[in-house]
Amino acid sequence: MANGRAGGRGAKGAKKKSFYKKDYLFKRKKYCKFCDSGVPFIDYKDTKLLAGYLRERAKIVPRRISGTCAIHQRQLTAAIKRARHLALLPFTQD
Amino acid sequence: MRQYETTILTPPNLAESELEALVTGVEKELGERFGGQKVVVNRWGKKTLAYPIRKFTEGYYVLYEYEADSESCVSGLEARLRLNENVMRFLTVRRDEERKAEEKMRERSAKRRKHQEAEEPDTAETFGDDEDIE
Repeated sequence: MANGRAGGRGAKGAKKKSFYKKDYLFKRKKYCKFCDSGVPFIDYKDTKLLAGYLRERAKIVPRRISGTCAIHQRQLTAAIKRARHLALLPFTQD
Repeated sequence: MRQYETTILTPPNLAESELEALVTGVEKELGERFGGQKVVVNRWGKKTLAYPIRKFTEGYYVLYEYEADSESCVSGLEARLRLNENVMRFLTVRRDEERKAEEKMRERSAKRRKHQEAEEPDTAETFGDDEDIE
Protein backbone atom coordinates (compact mmCIF):
# COMPACT_ATOMS: atom_id res chain seq x y z
CA MET A 1 0.00 0.00 0.00
CA ALA A 2 2.84 2.29 0.83
CA ASN A 3 4.28 2.01 -2.61
CA GLY A 4 1.05 2.65 -4.49
CA ARG A 5 2.53 5.66 -6.15
CA ALA A 6 0.85 7.72 -8.81
CA GLY A 7 1.42 6.50 -12.32
CA GLY A 8 1.98 2.89 -11.32
CA ARG A 9 -0.23 0.47 -13.16
CA GLY A 10 -1.06 -1.42 -10.01
CA ALA A 11 -1.84 1.71 -8.05
CA LYS A 12 -4.85 0.37 -6.24
CA GLY A 13 -6.50 1.67 -3.12
CA ALA A 14 -8.15 4.96 -2.39
CA LYS A 15 -5.64 7.41 -3.67
CA LYS A 16 -6.78 10.95 -4.10
CA LYS A 17 -6.23 12.55 -7.45
CA SER A 18 -3.41 14.96 -7.14
CA PHE A 19 -3.75 18.59 -8.04
CA TYR A 20 -0.85 18.27 -10.45
CA LYS A 21 -1.68 16.93 -13.87
CA LYS A 22 1.50 14.95 -14.19
CA ASP A 23 0.69 12.95 -11.10
CA TYR A 24 -2.32 11.25 -12.56
CA LEU A 25 -1.44 11.11 -16.24
CA PHE A 26 -0.39 7.64 -17.15
CA LYS A 27 3.34 7.56 -17.69
CA ARG A 28 5.07 4.56 -19.15
CA LYS A 29 8.67 4.20 -18.23
CA LYS A 30 11.00 4.16 -21.25
CA TYR A 31 13.54 1.43 -21.59
CA CYS A 32 16.19 0.42 -24.07
CA LYS A 33 14.70 -2.21 -26.33
CA PHE A 34 18.12 -3.50 -27.36
CA CYS A 35 19.19 -4.05 -23.77
CA ASP A 36 15.91 -5.74 -23.02
CA SER A 37 15.90 -8.14 -25.95
CA GLY A 38 19.64 -8.81 -25.67
CA VAL A 39 20.43 -8.07 -29.31
CA PRO A 40 24.21 -8.54 -29.33
CA PHE A 41 25.00 -6.35 -32.26
CA ILE A 42 23.09 -3.94 -34.47
CA ASP A 43 23.82 -4.85 -38.05
CA TYR A 44 23.54 -2.42 -40.94
CA LYS A 45 22.06 -5.21 -43.04
CA ASP A 46 19.05 -5.55 -40.78
CA THR A 47 17.03 -2.93 -42.61
CA LYS A 48 13.72 -3.85 -41.09
CA LEU A 49 14.95 -3.23 -37.59
CA LEU A 50 16.71 0.00 -38.49
CA ALA A 51 13.74 1.39 -40.38
CA GLY A 52 11.81 1.30 -37.13
CA TYR A 53 14.17 3.94 -35.77
CA LEU A 54 13.61 6.39 -38.58
CA ARG A 55 11.04 9.12 -38.47
CA GLU A 56 8.66 9.93 -41.24
CA ARG A 57 11.25 12.15 -42.90
CA ALA A 58 13.85 9.40 -42.45
CA LYS A 59 15.60 11.19 -39.62
CA ILE A 60 17.01 9.10 -36.80
CA VAL A 61 14.72 8.97 -33.79
CA PRO A 62 16.45 10.65 -30.85
CA ARG A 63 17.25 8.79 -27.69
CA ARG A 64 14.92 10.87 -25.63
CA ILE A 65 12.00 9.62 -27.69
CA SER A 66 12.92 5.99 -28.26
CA GLY A 67 14.46 5.41 -24.85
CA THR A 68 17.45 3.63 -26.34
CA CYS A 69 20.52 3.63 -24.10
CA ALA A 70 23.64 5.55 -25.09
CA ILE A 71 25.66 2.50 -26.11
CA HIS A 72 22.96 1.13 -28.36
CA GLN A 73 22.03 4.51 -29.80
CA ARG A 74 25.63 4.91 -30.92
CA GLN A 75 25.62 1.49 -32.59
CA LEU A 76 22.24 2.19 -34.10
CA THR A 77 23.30 5.49 -35.61
CA ALA A 78 26.42 3.94 -37.11
CA ALA A 79 24.38 1.10 -38.58
CA ILE A 80 21.79 3.46 -40.07
CA LYS A 81 24.49 5.60 -41.64
CA ARG A 82 26.14 2.57 -43.18
CA ALA A 83 22.83 1.38 -44.55
CA ARG A 84 22.20 4.82 -46.03
CA HIS A 85 25.46 4.73 -47.91
CA LEU A 86 24.41 1.49 -49.58
CA ALA A 87 20.95 2.89 -50.36
CA LEU A 88 19.34 0.35 -48.07
CA LEU A 89 17.80 3.21 -46.14
CA PRO A 90 16.91 6.71 -47.31
CA PHE A 91 18.73 9.87 -46.29
CA THR A 92 15.50 11.76 -46.62
CA GLN A 93 11.93 11.08 -47.51
CA ASP A 94 9.53 13.51 -49.07
CA MET B 1 43.91 -12.26 -38.86
CA ARG B 2 41.12 -9.83 -39.36
CA GLN B 3 37.67 -10.56 -40.62
CA TYR B 4 36.12 -8.22 -43.11
CA GLU B 5 33.01 -7.99 -45.14
CA THR B 6 32.55 -5.92 -48.23
CA THR B 7 29.23 -5.20 -49.87
CA ILE B 8 29.14 -3.94 -53.42
CA LEU B 9 26.25 -2.51 -55.36
CA THR B 10 26.05 -2.90 -59.11
CA PRO B 11 23.60 -1.51 -61.66
CA PRO B 12 20.53 -3.64 -62.42
CA ASN B 13 20.94 -3.51 -66.18
CA LEU B 14 24.09 -5.62 -66.44
CA ALA B 15 23.88 -8.64 -68.68
CA GLU B 16 23.97 -12.01 -66.99
CA SER B 17 27.47 -12.71 -68.23
CA GLU B 18 28.72 -9.25 -67.29
CA LEU B 19 27.41 -9.60 -63.77
CA GLU B 20 28.88 -13.05 -63.46
CA ALA B 21 32.25 -11.79 -64.66
CA LEU B 22 32.18 -8.96 -62.18
CA VAL B 23 31.20 -11.05 -59.19
CA THR B 24 33.67 -13.83 -59.80
CA GLY B 25 36.31 -11.34 -60.93
CA VAL B 26 36.17 -9.50 -57.63
CA GLU B 27 36.21 -12.80 -55.78
CA LYS B 28 39.28 -13.96 -57.68
CA GLU B 29 41.11 -10.71 -57.21
CA LEU B 30 40.30 -10.72 -53.54
CA GLY B 31 41.62 -14.24 -53.13
CA GLU B 32 44.60 -14.25 -55.41
CA ARG B 33 45.87 -10.74 -55.75
CA PHE B 34 45.14 -9.27 -52.35
CA GLY B 35 45.58 -12.32 -50.18
CA GLY B 36 42.04 -12.65 -48.87
CA GLN B 37 41.30 -15.99 -47.25
CA LYS B 38 38.13 -17.98 -46.74
CA VAL B 39 36.27 -15.80 -49.20
CA VAL B 40 32.54 -16.37 -49.05
CA VAL B 41 30.29 -14.79 -51.66
CA ASN B 42 26.76 -14.00 -50.70
CA ARG B 43 24.45 -12.64 -53.36
CA TRP B 44 21.52 -10.68 -52.06
CA GLY B 45 20.18 -10.20 -55.54
CA LYS B 46 18.22 -7.32 -56.96
CA LYS B 47 16.77 -4.91 -54.45
CA THR B 48 14.92 -1.65 -54.64
CA LEU B 49 17.12 1.27 -53.68
CA ALA B 50 16.07 3.71 -51.00
CA TYR B 51 17.04 6.55 -53.33
CA PRO B 52 18.02 6.61 -56.98
CA ILE B 53 21.70 6.20 -57.85
CA ARG B 54 22.74 7.04 -61.42
CA LYS B 55 19.02 7.19 -62.17
CA PHE B 56 18.57 3.53 -61.27
CA THR B 57 15.89 2.62 -58.79
CA GLU B 58 17.15 -0.92 -58.36
CA GLY B 59 20.51 -2.45 -57.69
CA TYR B 60 22.21 -5.79 -57.37
CA TYR B 61 23.94 -6.42 -54.05
CA VAL B 62 26.80 -8.81 -53.45
CA LEU B 63 28.40 -9.44 -50.07
CA TYR B 64 31.93 -10.82 -49.66
CA GLU B 65 33.08 -12.17 -46.34
CA TYR B 66 36.78 -12.84 -45.97
CA GLU B 67 39.79 -12.82 -43.74
CA ALA B 68 43.00 -10.95 -44.30
CA ASP B 69 46.26 -10.31 -42.53
CA SER B 70 46.73 -6.69 -43.30
CA GLU B 71 44.90 -3.54 -44.17
CA SER B 72 46.53 -3.51 -47.59
CA CYS B 73 44.15 -6.21 -48.78
CA VAL B 74 41.19 -3.94 -48.15
CA SER B 75 42.80 -0.80 -49.50
CA GLY B 76 43.89 -2.67 -52.61
CA LEU B 77 40.45 -4.08 -53.20
CA GLU B 78 38.79 -0.74 -52.62
CA ALA B 79 41.14 0.98 -55.03
CA ARG B 80 40.11 -1.55 -57.67
CA LEU B 81 36.42 -1.15 -56.90
CA ARG B 82 36.69 2.61 -57.21
CA LEU B 83 37.98 2.21 -60.74
CA ASN B 84 35.25 -0.20 -61.74
CA GLU B 85 32.41 1.52 -63.54
CA ASN B 86 30.00 -1.23 -62.68
CA VAL B 87 30.33 -0.75 -58.95
CA MET B 88 28.02 2.00 -57.81
CA ARG B 89 28.69 1.69 -54.10
CA PHE B 90 30.79 -0.40 -51.77
CA LEU B 91 31.21 -0.69 -48.04
CA THR B 92 33.82 -2.57 -46.05
CA VAL B 93 33.29 -3.38 -42.41
CA ARG B 94 35.54 -5.12 -39.92
CA ARG B 95 33.67 -8.06 -38.56
CA ASP B 96 36.15 -9.11 -35.89
CA GLU B 97 35.74 -5.82 -34.04
CA GLU B 98 32.02 -6.19 -34.27
CA ARG B 99 32.26 -9.69 -32.88
CA LYS B 100 34.32 -8.34 -29.99
CA ALA B 101 31.68 -5.74 -29.29
CA GLU B 102 29.07 -8.46 -29.56
CA GLU B 103 30.84 -10.51 -26.91
CA LYS B 104 31.00 -7.49 -24.65
CA MET B 105 27.32 -6.82 -25.03
CA ARG B 106 26.52 -10.45 -24.26
CA GLU B 107 28.46 -10.24 -21.04
CA ARG B 108 26.79 -7.00 -20.19
CA SER B 109 23.28 -8.29 -20.75
CA ALA B 110 24.05 -11.45 -18.78
CA LYS B 111 25.20 -9.30 -15.90
CA ARG B 112 22.11 -7.18 -16.20
CA ARG B 113 19.85 -10.18 -16.12
CA LYS B 114 21.54 -11.51 -13.03
CA HIS B 115 21.20 -8.16 -11.40
CA GLN B 116 17.53 -8.00 -12.24
CA GLU B 117 16.85 -11.43 -10.86
CA ALA B 118 18.65 -10.56 -7.67
CA GLU B 119 16.35 -7.64 -7.12
CA GLU B 120 12.95 -8.06 -5.56
CA PRO B 121 10.32 -9.07 -8.09
CA ASP B 122 7.92 -6.34 -6.98
CA THR B 123 9.97 -3.43 -8.16
CA ALA B 124 8.27 -0.39 -6.77
CA GLU B 125 7.82 2.14 -9.50
CA THR B 126 9.28 5.30 -8.15
CA PHE B 127 9.08 8.11 -10.56
CA GLY B 128 7.74 11.56 -9.97
CA ASP B 129 10.11 13.25 -7.62
CA ASP B 130 7.64 15.34 -5.71
CA GLU B 131 5.97 14.21 -2.52
CA ASP B 132 2.47 12.78 -2.46
CA ILE B 133 -0.19 15.17 -1.50
CA GLU B 134 -2.49 13.63 1.01
